[in-house]
Amino acid sequence: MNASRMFRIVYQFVSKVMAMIRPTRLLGLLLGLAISLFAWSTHAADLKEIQARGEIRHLGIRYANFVTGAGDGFDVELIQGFAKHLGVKYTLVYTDFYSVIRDLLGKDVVRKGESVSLQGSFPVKGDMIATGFTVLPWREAVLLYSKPTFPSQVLLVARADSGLKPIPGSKDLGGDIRKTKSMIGKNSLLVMEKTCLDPANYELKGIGLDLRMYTRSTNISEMVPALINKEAELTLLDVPDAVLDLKKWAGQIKVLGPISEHQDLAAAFPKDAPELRAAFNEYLAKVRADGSYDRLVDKYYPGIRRYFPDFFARTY
Amino acid sequence: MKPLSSLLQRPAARWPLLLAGAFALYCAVLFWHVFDAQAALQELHNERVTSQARYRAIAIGDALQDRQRMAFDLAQSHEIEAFLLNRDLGMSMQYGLWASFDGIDQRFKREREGLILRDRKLYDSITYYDERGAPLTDSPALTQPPDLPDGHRLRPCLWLSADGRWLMASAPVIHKGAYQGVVVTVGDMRRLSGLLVEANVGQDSSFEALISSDGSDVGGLVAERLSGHEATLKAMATMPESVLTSASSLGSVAKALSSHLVMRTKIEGVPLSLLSTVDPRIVYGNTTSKGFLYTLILAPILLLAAALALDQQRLRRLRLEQHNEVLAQEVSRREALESELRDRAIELERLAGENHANMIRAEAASRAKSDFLATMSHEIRTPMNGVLGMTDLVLETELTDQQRDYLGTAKLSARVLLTVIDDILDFSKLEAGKVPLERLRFDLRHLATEVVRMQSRAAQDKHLSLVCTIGPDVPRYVVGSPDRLRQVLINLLSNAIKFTQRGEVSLDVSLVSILDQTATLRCSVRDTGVGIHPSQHRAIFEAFTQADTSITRRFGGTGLGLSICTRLAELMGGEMDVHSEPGRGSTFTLTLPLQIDDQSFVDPDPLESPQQPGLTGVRSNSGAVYFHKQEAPLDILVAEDNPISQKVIDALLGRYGHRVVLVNNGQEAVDVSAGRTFDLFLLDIHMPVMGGIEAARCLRSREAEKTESRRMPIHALTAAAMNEERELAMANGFDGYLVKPIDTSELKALLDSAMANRSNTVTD
Repeated sequence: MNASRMFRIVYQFVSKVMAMIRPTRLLGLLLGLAISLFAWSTHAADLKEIQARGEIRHLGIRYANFVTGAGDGFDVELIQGFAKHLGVKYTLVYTDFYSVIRDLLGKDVVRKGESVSLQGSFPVKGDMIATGFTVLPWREAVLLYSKPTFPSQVLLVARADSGLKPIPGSKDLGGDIRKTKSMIGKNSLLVMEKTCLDPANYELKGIGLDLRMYTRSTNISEMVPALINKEAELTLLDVPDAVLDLKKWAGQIKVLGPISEHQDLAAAFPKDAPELRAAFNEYLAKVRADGSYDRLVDKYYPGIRRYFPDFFARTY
Repeated sequence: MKPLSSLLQRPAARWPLLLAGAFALYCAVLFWHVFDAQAALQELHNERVTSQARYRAIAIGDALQDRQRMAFDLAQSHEIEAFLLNRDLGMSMQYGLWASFDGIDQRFKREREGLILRDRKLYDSITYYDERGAPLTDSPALTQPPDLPDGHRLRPCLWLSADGRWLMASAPVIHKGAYQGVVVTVGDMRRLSGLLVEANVGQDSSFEALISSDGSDVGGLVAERLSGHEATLKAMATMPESVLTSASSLGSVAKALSSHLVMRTKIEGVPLSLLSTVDPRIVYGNTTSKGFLYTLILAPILLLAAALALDQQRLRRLRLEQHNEVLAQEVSRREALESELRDRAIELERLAGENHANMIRAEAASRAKSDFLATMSHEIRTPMNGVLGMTDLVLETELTDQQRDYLGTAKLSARVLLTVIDDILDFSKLEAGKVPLERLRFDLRHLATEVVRMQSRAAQDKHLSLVCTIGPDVPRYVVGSPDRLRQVLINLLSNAIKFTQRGEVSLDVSLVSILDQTATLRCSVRDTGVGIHPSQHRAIFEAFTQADTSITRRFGGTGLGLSICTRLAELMGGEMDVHSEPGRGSTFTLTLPLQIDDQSFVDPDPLESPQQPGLTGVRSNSGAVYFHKQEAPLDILVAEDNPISQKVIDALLGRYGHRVVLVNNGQEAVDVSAGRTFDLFLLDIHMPVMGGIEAARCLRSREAEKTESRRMPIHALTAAAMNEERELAMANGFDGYLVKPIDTSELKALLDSAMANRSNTVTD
C-alpha cells in the first residue's frame, strides 16, 4: 500500500464522515487525523521514543502459528508481553513477507547477488518485526536481530502419490541435505522468494532446477495446498508449517528430507534501534527464565521440542 | 321365661365396659388399616430405594462403559490414522513422522488433561501400543504393559487391574483392515469411585461404595468407615442383589452403620457391585414409626383395661355386699351358737367339777380297796403260810392213814382257799386296771421250763405226764412281761392238771411268724381231761363261770382263772382260744406277740438243751425234776419277824438238810452276814427295825465294796403278794420273790438253783 492510495482512502473516509457529522466537530477530527498521519509516516523509533510515545507497533505476517491472523499467535503474545514489559501500549500491524522490511525501515530492500541495498522512501509502519522471521545473512545486513526466539529448518515436501521416497534420516545432517537435494532433479519445485522458502537461501537458484515461484500470496501456509493442486511436484516447507500441514494434510503429502541446516527465527529491529533490541533481549531472557516462553511454545508448537531438542535446551 | 327387660338389665348395667370394648374394637380396625397402609408404604419406599440404586448402578455402569467408548474413539482418531498414513508413506520419525506422532501425543494429552470432572482427571494414562506392544506416545504410561484381556485385538475391552486399583479400557487400532496396535486408557478406580459415588454421601452417614466380587473396596471410600470390619465387607459382597438387608445382621460393623440398611446392586459389564447404605430414618422418614403406632395402640388398650378394672371393681363390690350379708347372717348364727356353747361350757365345767370330785372319791375308794386287798392278802397269807407249812411238816411225820387223809384234805382246802384269794386279788386288780405290764428281756425257754417245773409236783401227785415242747425256731430271748406270761401259763397248766385224771398234760411253745423283730408265738396247753362242750367255750372265759356247775363242785375253784388269763393275754396284745370236746380233752392256746431280743438266737443253755432226740425243750415225765445231785448243805440266812413263819421255814429248810441262821429283822441280817458267808438270803419284806428291801440294799452295797466277792443270792420270802411290792424288791437287789404261804416245790427249786450257783462259783 503506497501513500497516494492511503491518501485516497483517507480522503474518501473523511468525506463520508464530514457528510455525516456536524461542522462544529470538523476541526477536532482533522486535528486527530493529522496526528495519525504524522505518526504513520515517521521512521522507526528506538526505545526512548517508543516509551515517550507510549506505544509499540508490532509488524506481523500471517504465518503458521506465529501470527495466526486471528489476533493471537506465538509472536503476538511474545511482543504483547514485551509491550507490557516496557509499559507501553501494544499495536499489531499486519504486513507480508514482501513489505515487512520496508514497513519497518521505510525503505525497500534490493538484493543483487550477495549485495543488499535500501532504496526509496516509504512510511514506517512498525517498530519491530516478530513473525517467525528467519535469520538470514542478507537480512542481517539491514536489520538488527534479537536473540533467537524459535528454531526452524526447511524441508522438501512431495505429494503422497509421488514416486520419491523419503530418506531414512541419519545423524549426518549435511549428508541428509545432499540426499534430499539430489531427489529434486527435474521435478518442479514450488518456492516463495524473500521468505524462508526463497531458493536463493539454499543454493537452489541458478542450478537448472524447475523452480515455480508462488506469487498469488505471501502466505507460506498456501504452499501445501498449491502442491496438492499439482502446481508443482515438490515444495519447500519450513518446519513450523510442516508441523501443521502434516496433521492437516495427513496421507496427502510426505516429507522427503531436509533442505537446510537448522535455522533461527528472531525478532528484527532497525539498525538505529539498538536499545530497543537490548530491551527485547533482556525481556526474552526474562521470559525464558520464568517459564512464560515455554508456555507459549507448548501452546502454539507443542511438538516442536521433539524436533529441536538442542534449541529448547539452551540457556540464556 | 324371664322378660326381655330382665335379660337386658345385667348387660346394661355394664355399659362402660361395653362402650370401652366397642371403642377398642373400632381402634383395632383402625390400627389394622394403618399398619396395612404403613406396610404398603414401606414396601414402596423399599422399591424406591432399590430402583434408585439400580438406576445409579446403570449410570455408573454407563460411565464406566464410556471409558471403553473413549478408547474406541481414540483408536479411531484422525491423529492415529494420520500417523499410520504418514508411516505408510515411508516418512522417517526424524523427518516428518514425528509431527504425526506429536499429533497423537497432543490428542492424548488433551484427552488426559482436558477431561476433568469436578477438578479430577478421568484418565491417568492413555497409551498407544503398536502391534508389537511397544508404547508410541510420550504420555505417562504404565511402568509395565498391562495384561490385555483376550480378544483385545478384536473389540474394545473394559477391565480392572488385578489389585482393583485401575480401571482399564482398550480398543484395537485397525488400519486398512489390519491390527495396528491398541489404545489403552487407564483411570484411577479410587478417583473414578469418588466421582461416581462419593457425591452421594449424605449428612445422615449414608454412603455408596464400589466393591469387587471378593469384597475389596476398589474405591477406597469405605475403608476408613469399615476399618476392622473387612469380614463384614466381604459378607456384603455376597449379599443377594437388590435386597435391603440390615447391616447388623452381616456381622460387626461400625457403630454409625449398625442401624443402617445395606444393599448390593450389580454393575453390568464390570465385576463390580454398587454398595449402598441408607439410614432407615431417611428412607422411612415420612412413615409413622411403629413405636409411635404401638404407643397409640396402648391408649384403647389402657382404656379397655381401665373399664375392665372398674367393672371388676364394681362386680367385686357387689359380691362383697352379698358376701357381707351372708357373713352378717353367719355372724348372728354363730353368736347364737356361741351363747349356747357358753351355756354348755358352763354346764360342762360344772359336770367336770362333779366328775373330778367323783374321780377323787373313786380314787380314794380305789386306794382304800387296794390297801384293803393288800392288807387282806398279807394278813391271810401269813397264817395260811403257817397252816400249810405245819401241815406239810405233820404229813412228813409218822401218821395213820386216817390222819394222813385228814391232813391231806386240810392241806388241799387250804390250797384252794389260797388260790381263791389269789384269783380274787388278781381279778380285782385287772378290773381296776392296775396291773402294770413291764417290758423286760427274759429267757423264754427258761420261763417255759420253770413253769413246767413248778407244776411238776402237782402232776406227779396225780400220776400225769407233764410234757414241755419248745420249737427249734422259737427265739430264746424276748422282750415282754415275763411275770404275766408265767402267770397265764401256770394258770393254764394248773387248770389242765386239775381237770385231767389220767393221761398227759403238755405245754407246746411254737413260732407262728416273725415280722419286723416281732415274733408271734403260740403257747398251747393240751390235756386229756374231761373236755368242754363247744357251746360252753365262750362262757368259760367269763368271770365266775365254769363249764358245768358240777365241775365246781367236783374240782372246786372260783371260775376266775381263764377270765384272768384272757384279760392278761389281751393286756399283752395277745388272745386266748380253746379247742375242746367233751371226753377228748382240751387245748388252750395263747397267741402272743413278743419282741425278739438281738441275742435271741445264741447257743442255748447246755442245761436246758434237748436231752433226747426230737425234743427241743425239756421233757419231764411224772414230775421228774432236773437236778438230782447230792450237794453239801447250804448256809442260809433267813430274816423273819413272825415266829410261826420262822418255825415253818426253819422246818422246811432243815428237812432238806441245810444250815439255817434265823434273825428277826433286816438289821440283824446285815450285821450277822458281815462276818460270815451265806449261800442264800431269804428276807421278809415287812419287818420291824429294818425291812427286807433296805437290808438287801445294804447287802448289795457292801458286796459292791468287796470287788472280789461273788454276788450273793437274795430272795424275798413274804406275804406281800402285790406286784408293786414285787417290783420294788426286784429293783433293790433281790434276785427272786417267794410268796407266802410257801410253795415247797418253788422253795425246792430255789434251793436247787442256789446249790447249782454255788457249784458253778466253786468250779469257776
